[in-house]
Amino acid sequence: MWRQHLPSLLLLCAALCVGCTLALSLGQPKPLSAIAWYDVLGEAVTLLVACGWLGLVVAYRPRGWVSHCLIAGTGLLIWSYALDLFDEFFKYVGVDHPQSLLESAPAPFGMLLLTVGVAGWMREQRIVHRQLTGREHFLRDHRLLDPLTKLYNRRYLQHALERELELRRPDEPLSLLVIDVEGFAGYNHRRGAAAGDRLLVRIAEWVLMRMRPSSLLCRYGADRFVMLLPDTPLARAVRLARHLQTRFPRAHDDAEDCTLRCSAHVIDGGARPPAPAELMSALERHARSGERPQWNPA
Amino acid sequence: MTAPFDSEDKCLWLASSCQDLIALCLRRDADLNRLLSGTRIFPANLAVEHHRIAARDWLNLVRNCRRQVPVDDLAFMTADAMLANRDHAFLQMLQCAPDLGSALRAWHRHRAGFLPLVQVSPAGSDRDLSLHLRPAIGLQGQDAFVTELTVSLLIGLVRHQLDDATSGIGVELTTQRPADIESYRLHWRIEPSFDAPVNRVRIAYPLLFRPFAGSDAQRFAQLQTGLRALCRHSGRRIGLLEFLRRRMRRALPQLLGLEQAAATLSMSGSSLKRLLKQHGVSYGELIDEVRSELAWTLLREQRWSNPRVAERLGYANEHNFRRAFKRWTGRPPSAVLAP
Repeated sequence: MWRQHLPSLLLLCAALCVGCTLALSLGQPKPLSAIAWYDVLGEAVTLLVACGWLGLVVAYRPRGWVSHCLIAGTGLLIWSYALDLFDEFFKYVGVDHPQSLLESAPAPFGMLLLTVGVAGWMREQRIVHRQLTGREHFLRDHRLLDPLTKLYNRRYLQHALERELELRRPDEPLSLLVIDVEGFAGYNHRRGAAAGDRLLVRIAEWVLMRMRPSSLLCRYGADRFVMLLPDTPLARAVRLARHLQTRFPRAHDDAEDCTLRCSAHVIDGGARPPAPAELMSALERHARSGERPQWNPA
Repeated sequence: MTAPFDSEDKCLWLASSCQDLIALCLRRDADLNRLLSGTRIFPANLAVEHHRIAARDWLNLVRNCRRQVPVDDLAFMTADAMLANRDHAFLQMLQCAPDLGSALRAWHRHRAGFLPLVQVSPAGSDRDLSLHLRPAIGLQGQDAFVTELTVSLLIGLVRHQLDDATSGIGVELTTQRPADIESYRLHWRIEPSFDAPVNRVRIAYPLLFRPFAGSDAQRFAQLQTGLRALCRHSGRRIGLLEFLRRRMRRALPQLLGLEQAAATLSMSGSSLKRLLKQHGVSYGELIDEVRSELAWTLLREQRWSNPRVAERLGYANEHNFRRAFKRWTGRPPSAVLAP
């Protein structure tokens, strides 16, 4: 993050160097006995705290006018405090010495800039918060997660389908893979519900490892999973389906009475995109009777 | 006479089913303390064999579980887990029955000890056997869960023992049609109809006589003997609402008065009124329910004429009956006769 602020930091360093040189050249050093060490301690701590502020702003704030205000404000404060500290070690003769102007004038401007920056920061936080709550409502709603497999559930699949159907380019094929665990009810009945649940979790993990990061796997319910494969032609979806079907028995040798039945569907460029509800009911019909969905001539 | 089963009464079946339910929820990241809060069940109780749980506590547990695990198929999964549980004597007995008919008879015989929350009353027609499911005690808002659980147990029995032959079964539910009925389709393999006047399961007659895959006559007899002993120990008590409905139905065409019904329970009329309020019904509603159910059955299944039904239900004339029927169902009696 700090690299974004490199120009401002360099400018600040240059200004501080100029300030220090001026302070050194204008004053004469005090003898050690004339230095008030408590003042030195207090002013040094104030300077360090101001430097800490600058560090925090630089480390955690992105570039922008709010950050510029905050950096300029803390920069001016640091300038003031640094010269104030020099004041303890050097003697400046005369009441209207330019040094006193250099030392005290930047502090109020710095405070002003800091105030403006913090106000801007608050406004920014409010907007970010509003945006996050809107997003979280959609993405982090725990009711969209299946508590067992930690996959997204049927409701999320509906949302994702709607989004994909709306946003895809006309020439981009969208594939769907319906994965049924055949014989799961029997397995559950023979081995008990705990073993059945463990098997479902294992299958979910196994399938997750075999899909591309751009795909989405959801638990449709009971023993059915649905995978959404954006920008994937039917041939590739079929290849994946075949791969899953053939590898399943070897990967789950304790579930010899279960088989995986995968069916691949595609909504390709020419096809009229169906509404998500229509799509799901067509898939359901297909699962029950083997009737091909209408949009899918393949 | 033994008093009917009430919300504060304990039952063995409730305890064993609650173990399955809790295990299911724990595997779905629920917190045990939150599941048990307000239920008077303690983790130590769960490990005790033959521990009994009061109906009210069981219903509270179900409420907690549904809050903690907000999925729409909790009742279906609980039924699956219970059917798979080898320690569940009642369900094991049903699964080694010779056929569905015998299983249902055994269910009815042992219902008092093992499923005291639902009244399952059979009614036959020339096409199928229909089982009406009504709450046997006040279910504190968990009616839908208990109904789904009962129907799932029945359908699970058919799916496992009769090789997925769920096509001979029809389910009608009183609940509103939910936006998403995929869970029903996935678990029951049939699509129920909603907004029905009464919860019921219709079973085609041939299905009742097909032999079960896991049929074992010797074990069936053994388990029945064992269950009878357990039932004797806990008393054969049917739910309060079931008890009253049966009394009312037996009294028809005379109407059983409130005081009369209270006398059979050895309490005063006002006490019975108060008790029924706790169960979420009034005496008048209960009588209406019994009359409407009987009217429905006689009209639709037995094809009786209106004047005959009116006489059987204790109405002075057909006109009063027609008006009452319209009040119960929103439709005149002629409408239910339409196929």
